[in-house]
Amino acid sequence: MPMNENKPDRAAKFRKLQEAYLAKLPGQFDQMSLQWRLSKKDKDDGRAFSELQKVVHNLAGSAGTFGYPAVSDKARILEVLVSSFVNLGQSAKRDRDTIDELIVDIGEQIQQSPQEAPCAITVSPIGSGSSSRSHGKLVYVVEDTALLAQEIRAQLERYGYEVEVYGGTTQAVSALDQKIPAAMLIDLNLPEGELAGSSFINSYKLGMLKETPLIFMSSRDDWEARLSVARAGSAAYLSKPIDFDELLDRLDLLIGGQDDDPYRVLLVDDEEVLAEHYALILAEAGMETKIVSSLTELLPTISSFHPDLILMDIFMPECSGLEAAKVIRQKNELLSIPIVFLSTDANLKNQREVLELGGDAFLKKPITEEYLLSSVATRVSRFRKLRSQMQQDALTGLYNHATLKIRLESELGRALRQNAPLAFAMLDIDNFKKVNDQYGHPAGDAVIKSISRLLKQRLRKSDIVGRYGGEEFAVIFPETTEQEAKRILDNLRQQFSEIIHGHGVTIFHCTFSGGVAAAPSIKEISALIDTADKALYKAKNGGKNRICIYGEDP
Amino acid sequence: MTDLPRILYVEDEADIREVAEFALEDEGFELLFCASGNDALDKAEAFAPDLILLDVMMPGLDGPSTLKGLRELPSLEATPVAFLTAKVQPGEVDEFLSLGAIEVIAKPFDPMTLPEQIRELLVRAHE
Repeated sequence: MPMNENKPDRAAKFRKLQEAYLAKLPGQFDQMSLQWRLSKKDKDDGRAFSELQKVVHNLAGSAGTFGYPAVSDKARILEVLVSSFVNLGQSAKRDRDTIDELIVDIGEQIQQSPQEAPCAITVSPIGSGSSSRSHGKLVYVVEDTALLAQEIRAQLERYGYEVEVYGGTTQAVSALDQKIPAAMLIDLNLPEGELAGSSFINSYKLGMLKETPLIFMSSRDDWEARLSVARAGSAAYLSKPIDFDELLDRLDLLIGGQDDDPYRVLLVDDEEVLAEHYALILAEAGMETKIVSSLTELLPTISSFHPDLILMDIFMPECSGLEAAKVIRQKNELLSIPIVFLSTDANLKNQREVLELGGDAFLKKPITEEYLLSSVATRVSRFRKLRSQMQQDALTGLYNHATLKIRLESELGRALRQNAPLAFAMLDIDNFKKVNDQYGHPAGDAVIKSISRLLKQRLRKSDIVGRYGGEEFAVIFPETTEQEAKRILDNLRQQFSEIIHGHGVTIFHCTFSGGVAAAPSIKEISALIDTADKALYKAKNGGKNRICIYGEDP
Repeated sequence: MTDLPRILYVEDEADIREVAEFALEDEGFELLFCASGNDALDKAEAFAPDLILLDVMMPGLDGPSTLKGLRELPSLEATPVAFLTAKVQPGEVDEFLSLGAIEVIAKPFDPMTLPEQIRELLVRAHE
């Protein structure tokens, strides 16, 4: 990497910059204190206050870069506070006290020596940052109305969330001191005051909740309330009565659904040393890699490794990378996999050929680590998004009918080869037409989403769930007998029947029925689907809200 | 050897310009720093940048207004732009993106990873 060669110089130079900045910091701090003092005087026409805003803004934007992330964090909070009123006349005494405290805090932070350069702040593009502190599915609920708190707990726990309820801010603060949850749900109006929900968050240790999604609930819908939660950094605002479907959608979006499956990259290169080198770079960035050095191994490796991207040398002794790409593209399921070529030759004619043959990019060797990583990562992430769009049902995010059948075919094949059991179930929401007729189609959609969510979150990671059509769902249970599958589904059926749908005055319950069939007693995919369908029919005829196995008494 | 990618960085604060210069020099970029939006509008066409980095909050022309002005220059109609800002409320980020920026970089930035971030943006902008 060329940028490493002069690292010592760079470090020294950065230290110099840091020292220069450090020398100016006390001056900036004095300026800030001075303008604040002037602002508080009655005679200020707003000039001192706007000077204060400027100094604070600069401090917030620069201190972290020079090794003072804590100063930046506090200045940020201060900036939000001082820019929230045009002049000081609008501020409450409490706000002015907070400003006093923050300025003292910043002064203390400046006294402390800077962190080692480069500073340890995260600068990942906004939105992709993930906190190491989010604990799976732990959600704190700060709500003083016991009945509502209980209902929220019951609803969230059904979908696999872990819920802790706190009746007031004091309890919530001591819980936060122990553990930062994956998300927080906070009532704006608590016993401590009208807007206590947002103000206690504001005064909680600065920066600690930066990456924790906060959802506020309130029966107020006025500007002051909305502004106060916006200042507290809310991710969502729900008005009461709480629409649980919306709440769960928000939670799923905010803390679920992270794509944590490592990117899989297949390297095709006859020079194994070089391939190892690239593989190492990719592996260090957390990707899974596999190297193919002989082209006869290429297709079998692709079908066993399921790469997200193929990185291929153009010049290989057996055949050129371009020819190999042609062979790959002959396979229907590999039409869209990204193929990136590597070559020392930047020949334009070759580059054009690459694109004509369906290569996605052409990287010239030698290549820097960063460039290799970013070229690979951006393409894999796009490919995965595209693939999931093609495979998913839009409403529920489950596999669609076609993809589910493809998965069933490959899972069934594997089960029969390994002589392992495999269960297949068809599920159908009971009296769904009535839900639509009585409560409207949006309510029907919400029911479909709620069963999807339940299936996704309550089944094992290895189980494969799809929306088969309308209100019909299918589940593939690898390495599971039909009895085990029935037991699992019976459990889910029970949980689903307890879920409250709708909100406010129109609440209702729903149930579903299911039919199970299994391999190896059935070895044909169409027979498997058919049998599960017959078992479902039996469950419906037997009075609904039950799971049946074909040929067995209900 | 192709020309180095050209980066125009508009930032009112001298400290930040200095540290950005430190972070980006010797990293294979051609750099031009401007201290204000107006300065950028004067110099941008002649420099013909491949990527423009704009501080959001500047006295005079702020970042979004500078972007508007730049877009009115024919040769800069489609040049990728990223904003730098300390304000990173999710709603605000969307707003900046809707103005046509390809990324919003959080301030304070880390001088050690800034070059990488910019290379990534260049790759993305040319896809």
